[in-house]
Amino acid sequence: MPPEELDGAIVFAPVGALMTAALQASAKGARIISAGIHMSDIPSFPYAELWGERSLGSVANLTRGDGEEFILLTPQVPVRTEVEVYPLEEANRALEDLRAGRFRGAAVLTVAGSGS
Amino acid sequence: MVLERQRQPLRLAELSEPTPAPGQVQIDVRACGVCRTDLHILDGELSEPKLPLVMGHQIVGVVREAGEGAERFAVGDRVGVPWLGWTDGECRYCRSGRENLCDHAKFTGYDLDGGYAEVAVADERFCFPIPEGYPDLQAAPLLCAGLIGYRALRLVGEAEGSGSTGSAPPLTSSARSRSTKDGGSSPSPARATRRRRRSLASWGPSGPAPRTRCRRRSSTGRSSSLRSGR
Repeated sequence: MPPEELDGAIVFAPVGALMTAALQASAKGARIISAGIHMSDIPSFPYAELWGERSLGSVANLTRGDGEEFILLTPQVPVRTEVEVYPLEEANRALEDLRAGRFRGAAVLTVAGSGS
Repeated sequence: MVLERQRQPLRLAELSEPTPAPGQVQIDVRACGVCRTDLHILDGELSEPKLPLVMGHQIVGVVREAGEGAERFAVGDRVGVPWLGWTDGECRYCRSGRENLCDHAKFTGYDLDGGYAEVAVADERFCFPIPEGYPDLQAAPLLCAGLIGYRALRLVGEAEGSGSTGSAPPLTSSARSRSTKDGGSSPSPARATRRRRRSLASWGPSGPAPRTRCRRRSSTGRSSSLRSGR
């Protein structure tokens, strides 16, 4: 459990049990957001864990407004990305390495001759 | 790389080059991020992809040709193509500024062919200019992992002690702000924006410019580190 109660949490992993784990670690008024497009079932939990104006929610897709705002913000922060690079033709290996958690950060396919 | 059937590996294939329809741009793909959503498509957990399909919805590339009426970008411009590829503009969600919930949305690399390819086409209205200073490889994950993380952070709101858990993309957050807990008053909108930026700032390194890091995986699985200070 975190060292102090959470006022909010973002769950990226597609594991429903993490939603209730985050809820149990939250303060009154907290918002717990799932950022994934797919997740395993969320286990049932006592209403008392939700009470206190805590809420569970999800993110679906993006708007163009989100994109334009975020893209402008990234160099100002600055946001750093850490990537693992694979040639385009090794997309299957990139997917399997992602599944197996064999790298940190994000896998990126690169096209031969792109000079990137 | 083509997905012909779910739960089967992608196949390397020669396809005819996609040509830009009216309002679209044709893009020479330079980089394309690999997202966990792609695994959900591959595994059949997202069950209705276009098939055969070119996956990939974090595309960074350069405009090669503009279709009829497409004037937003010039040939040679560097653009990003995200997951949201088309919306109807007419449903109750689109009309209320919530196009992310559009009933008839089409998604790049799911309903529309995406960026696991040398060439792609995209509706120019849904493309973004990529900021200078982000190399192609480092910019690609911003287009879904970064963007969805950003939207999630906004939905969480001005949390005082938020945490994130899971395989968060290349951005991991320990967004924290204690100003109100330590006795401050409720933040003004301007303060709230600054606080949000501070929270986001904790996702990256300090310093004036983004530092980037990438490792190249050879076919033997070995990796070597490359660093650039932008």
